[in-house]
Amino acid sequence: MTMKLILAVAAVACTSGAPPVARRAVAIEEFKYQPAVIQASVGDTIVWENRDIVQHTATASDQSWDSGEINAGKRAVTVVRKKGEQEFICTLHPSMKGKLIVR
Amino acid sequence: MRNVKKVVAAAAFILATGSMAEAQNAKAAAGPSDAEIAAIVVAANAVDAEIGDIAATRATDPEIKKFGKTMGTDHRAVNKAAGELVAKLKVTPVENGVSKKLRADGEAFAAELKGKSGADFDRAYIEHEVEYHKAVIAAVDDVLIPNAKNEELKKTLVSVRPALVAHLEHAQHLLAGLK
Repeated sequence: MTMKLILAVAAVACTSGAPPVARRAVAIEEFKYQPAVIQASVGDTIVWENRDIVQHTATASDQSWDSGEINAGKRAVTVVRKKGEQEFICTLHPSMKGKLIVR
Repeated sequence: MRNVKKVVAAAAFILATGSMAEAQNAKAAAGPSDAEIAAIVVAANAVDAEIGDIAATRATDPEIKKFGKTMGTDHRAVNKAAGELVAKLKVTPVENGVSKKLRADGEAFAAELKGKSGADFDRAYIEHEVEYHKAVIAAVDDVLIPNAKNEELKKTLVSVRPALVAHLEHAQHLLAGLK
């Protein structure tokens, strides 16, 4: 009985018209975020791929989210939680800047 | 400390032009070999990593302390990549006047830095980093990249440049924030 209820709720959630979540790939290469301006929706995931030979981070200017240190050749994932525009930087190399625009 | 720029600039000049005796030597006039460039790259990174280690433990300003730590990790990462490349290319770095001078001056500056503390330490370190990165970028642009013969070595030097520029901009920002 409980299982039926859970499945029903899940079915409603799947057909509620909410936009599907997307994966947004961002390369970190030559000390730049590519793209530097990211368009996303709440619930999307941003996959940061560090193609440089040193560590980087992608960190919100208000510290509300942080990829943590991403080692050379590795990836990190950030889930977009709120709408609005937000600048972000690499805390290890603050001249690296980007902007996240969430619709 | 202000000698850093002069030393690296002089080194770049020597590499670019050769000494008076070497001026008659076509090989020397052609600039450093790939093996010499490899040694210069390793020395330049090792020096700044070691000085960064000192700042990471002795700087007072937390941002400068963090910058020092980043210099240690970044320049060691570059040297790791450089080591892998020269192993792949079967090039053995050849120590030369520039690489030796870089190491000697690095040791002298490290000793000077260890005699300082507090705000004096922070300023001396970060001023050094600004001048050092400016000089190394100039050497990379004017001497190392133009003289690198192996394409992979040249590509690596080009790929390292953004790191040096980011370090310079970071150091300049920190220096501007010092009272």
